[in-house]
Amino acid sequence: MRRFFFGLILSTCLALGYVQQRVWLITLGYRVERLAAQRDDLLDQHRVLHYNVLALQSPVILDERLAQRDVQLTPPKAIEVLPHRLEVNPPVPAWSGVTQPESSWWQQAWKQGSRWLENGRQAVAEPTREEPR
Amino acid sequence: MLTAAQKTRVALAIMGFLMIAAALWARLLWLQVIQPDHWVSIARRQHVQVLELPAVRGSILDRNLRPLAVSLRLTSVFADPRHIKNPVLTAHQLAPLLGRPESHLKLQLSRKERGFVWLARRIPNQAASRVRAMDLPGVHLVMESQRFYPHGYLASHVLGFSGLDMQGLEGLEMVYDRVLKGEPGWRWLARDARRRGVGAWDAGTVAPRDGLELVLTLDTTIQYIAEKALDQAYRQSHAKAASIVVADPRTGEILALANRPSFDPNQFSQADPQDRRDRAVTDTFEPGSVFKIVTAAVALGTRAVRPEDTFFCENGSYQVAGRVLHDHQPHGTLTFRQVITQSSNIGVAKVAARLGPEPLYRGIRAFGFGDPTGVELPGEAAVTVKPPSQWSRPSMTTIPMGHEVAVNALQLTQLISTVANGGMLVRPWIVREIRDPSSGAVVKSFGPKVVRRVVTPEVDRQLQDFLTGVVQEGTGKLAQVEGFQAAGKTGTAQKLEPNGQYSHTRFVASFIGFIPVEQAHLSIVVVVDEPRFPYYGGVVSAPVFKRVATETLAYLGYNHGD
Repeated sequence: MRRFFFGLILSTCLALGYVQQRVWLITLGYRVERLAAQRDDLLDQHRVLHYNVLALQSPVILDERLAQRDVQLTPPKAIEVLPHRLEVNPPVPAWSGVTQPESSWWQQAWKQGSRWLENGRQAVAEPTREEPR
Repeated sequence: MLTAAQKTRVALAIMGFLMIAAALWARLLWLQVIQPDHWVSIARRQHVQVLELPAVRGSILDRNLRPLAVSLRLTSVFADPRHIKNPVLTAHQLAPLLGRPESHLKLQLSRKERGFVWLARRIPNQAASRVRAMDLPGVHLVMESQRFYPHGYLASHVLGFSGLDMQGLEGLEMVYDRVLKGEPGWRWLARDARRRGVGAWDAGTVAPRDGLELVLTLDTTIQYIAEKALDQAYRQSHAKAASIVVADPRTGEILALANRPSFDPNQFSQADPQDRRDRAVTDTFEPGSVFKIVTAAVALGTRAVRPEDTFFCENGSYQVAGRVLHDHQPHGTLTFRQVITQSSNIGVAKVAARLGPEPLYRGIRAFGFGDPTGVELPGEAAVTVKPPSQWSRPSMTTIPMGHEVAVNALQLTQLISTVANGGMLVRPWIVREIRDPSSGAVVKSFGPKVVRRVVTPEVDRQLQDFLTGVVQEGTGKLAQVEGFQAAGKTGTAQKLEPNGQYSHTRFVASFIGFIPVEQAHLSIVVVVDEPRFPYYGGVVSAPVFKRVATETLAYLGYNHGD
């Protein structure tokens, strides 16, 4: 009799565990669906915002807006264009932060390390190196 | 103690229970083990749904990876009218958000015989959020993809457009539809009694394969420069149409291609079908004097004529082969070089007389006329050049000056690029790469295709000298670019009337040229169809060349003397 009751209790526990597992899976399923829908919404919003940025950068849109404000732009003359690489003579000292001289590997490592430590506290503004066309 | 009768009743009851249990077990065994398929299929139909996962159509990018065409998902709103209790109130609530007339929505929502009606498709995200927040019974939202072209009309003829079902209908969207559209995926989705998704944690999923990206040889900025200059000429000359092609003669890459009239592919359905035609590719015309480059090349190549040879140009009027030839201004004796720089029809007819039909025909074919250029754009007209056996008596005077032959703007680009390129014919092309958007890996790349050498470097140098003369002292002075030496040829071709006669009021004004002469970076073809007076190629089209060349060279960073 004891064995019978023990088996009954064990099988009941197993059955309840199984049911609990199924309920838990269904609950998780709802949550996963909700989160997936949220993710899709956010991705869609991101794509739309990215598209808006692209559209605003379009020369067509910029031209229309300038025309609306009666701004007439003309290409600059050669003499008005600054060359890509400006050389300053005498050179500005590196500690001034105005120039970015070529640095050795340990200076670059030091800079990376200090940037990592100060991450979030200080904005780093550096000229981007333009790829040769 | 039980009596015998009671024992019998208990035994009968137990037997009855056992028999019922056995019957239930047997039925259970039948349903669960022996014949489960029928009920399982019914249950699956109720609880499980196959959900298609649409693929994102690949973007089209310019040479600097700036998007020219992108796909976005927007919300569409539909309704099940059977579950709408108050169509009037629902229509009143939705009309301002969906931007649809209230009466139209009311009519749609009142169609109780239908279980599905569209209320609005692809509405803005903000409106969609507000509709979602209202949670109206019977009103549902679904995401649908739409193609967007961030630069509007820019390069619209090249890109084409795709329809509501994201099927490419014109331009590169159509030609590369299979590459761009990708393959949809699917997954099993379990649903509860309210038809909400429960997830598919124990079912199969096949992820969609998004479409690949096309990288073009076009440059958005050069395209903009070209379109703006072309648009100005098109409007000022009140022309019927206009086309421009800007290419790199060294590689054959098309940097810009535009036509007027144009259209905005974001609203392609509102555009006139005529405005959607890629005239630079599909339309053929008699090129007129720009074709004299071919005659000059053949004359120099066969050594039938030397640059210093002189021709009497009959003071502007010359009767030959049963017709009278005219020059746009009378000339006396001109050297061969001057014949080209001053674009004398009479002089060219006399040059051609020294050539004969066969060498001229072979030269025309060598420059690629009579064969399609093979550019990836759809609808390139099949153009044939008549063999000499089919030439009429006046053909030997008209063909050398660009009549009785039909070309398109791309073939003229090929012609001028060959001269700019030292005599090598390079095929024009516009698709640079096919890329995987997820990894950025190049799936397939395309490159320049050198077809053949057409003229020797020596002959090419002489041709370049002739064409430089056209810009410096001839009919193309308005194409001069400050700080650079340009070369080119003007053309003003009379159009054929329906009665077969050449018109005196309808012309095709063109200019084809390259810059800088010493090492050409750009070849530019400008064709203006039916401009009003002044209708000369040197007046209408040459300034477009000048403006595009000036601004493009500045954009590309070429300084004077580079």
